[in-house]
Amino acid sequence: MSGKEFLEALGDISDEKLQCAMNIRRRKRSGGGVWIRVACVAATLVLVLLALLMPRDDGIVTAPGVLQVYAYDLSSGEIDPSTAILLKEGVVQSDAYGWCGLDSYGWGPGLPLTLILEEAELAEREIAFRVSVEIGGICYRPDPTDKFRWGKQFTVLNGDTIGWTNNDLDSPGFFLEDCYMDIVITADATSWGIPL
Amino acid sequence: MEDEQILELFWQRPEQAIREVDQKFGAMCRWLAMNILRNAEDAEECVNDTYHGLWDAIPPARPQKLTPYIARITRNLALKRLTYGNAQKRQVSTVSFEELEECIPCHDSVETAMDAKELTRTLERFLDTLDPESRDMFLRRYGFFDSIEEIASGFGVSRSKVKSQLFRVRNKLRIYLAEEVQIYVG
Repeated sequence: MSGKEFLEALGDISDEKLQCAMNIRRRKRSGGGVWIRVACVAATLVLVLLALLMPRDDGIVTAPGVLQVYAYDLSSGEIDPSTAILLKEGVVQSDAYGWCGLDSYGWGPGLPLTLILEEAELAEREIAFRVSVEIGGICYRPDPTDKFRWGKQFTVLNGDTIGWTNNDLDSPGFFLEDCYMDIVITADATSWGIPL
Repeated sequence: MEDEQILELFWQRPEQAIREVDQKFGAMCRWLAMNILRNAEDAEECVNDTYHGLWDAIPPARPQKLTPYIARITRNLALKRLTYGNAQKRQVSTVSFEELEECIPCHDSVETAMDAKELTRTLERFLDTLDPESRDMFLRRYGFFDSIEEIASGFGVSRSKVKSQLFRVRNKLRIYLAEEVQIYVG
């Protein structure tokens, strides 16, 4: 039986379940969430305006620009387009990217990430990234909702590959199975001193 | 127009019935066909086939709920068309297929143990074990072939949450199917 035949069988499930799933529309975010987002957007706008208006005497242009950081899956040699992370000027943070699974069904710890800033002026230069990892949903822990946060600063040559080992993440009684990692990459573009 | 009125039109056989269906369900059919076929021309043909199928099926059929009934026809026709298209062009199957294939413990054993109807019943029971959000996400992904982005947008959550949740559901499904196959084989 193939995945396709399986999908066909899935189409024959009850009307109620299909109807329920069909009815999903954009859900309203909670009021608090909306205000946090509005505040974040406003703060970002203020920061961008301040950066634009501040006088510069070091010849660094700080107009907003976009750099790209790619996380490559070196085990397959392919780049997952969804791992492309847009970094804007300033201290920037990528969206959380979920690396699902730490067993044979997904990504493992020590996952290599190649960080490339596609900006010619940063070629062969040292760049600093902070990679923070959040692990959650570990079913063998007493509380399956436990979250474990870990972060590490990497200073690497542009284009270098970073990674980490099980020991960095593991702890006694901590089973890395059936869980997910959220990886957030942060970089301080202002420290690179290049026109963007 | 209410579903009941549209159904009544189909029973009376004026062609207005098709126009009404197109007006009410056309967007849904196109969206679903596009999700599966990723080709506007094929999707449009699939939608037309859906209307023909509907015309042939009602009467005698009198579905309780028109939305899932029509969605099912479109889905089946699109999948059939996709099979034909793949055979012709040797295309790689969609990501959704590959993701689900990981969940089938052992293809042969499932096939031996369960026929299509039994598999549907098993899936139905499995879906009952999920919380509503996980169930709907699962169906959006593998029932309606929504992209991760579309699901995240629809549920108002991040892409990583959708991926994590789908990953967990697939893992649960893998375990659930393995147990069910054991019961049938044993």
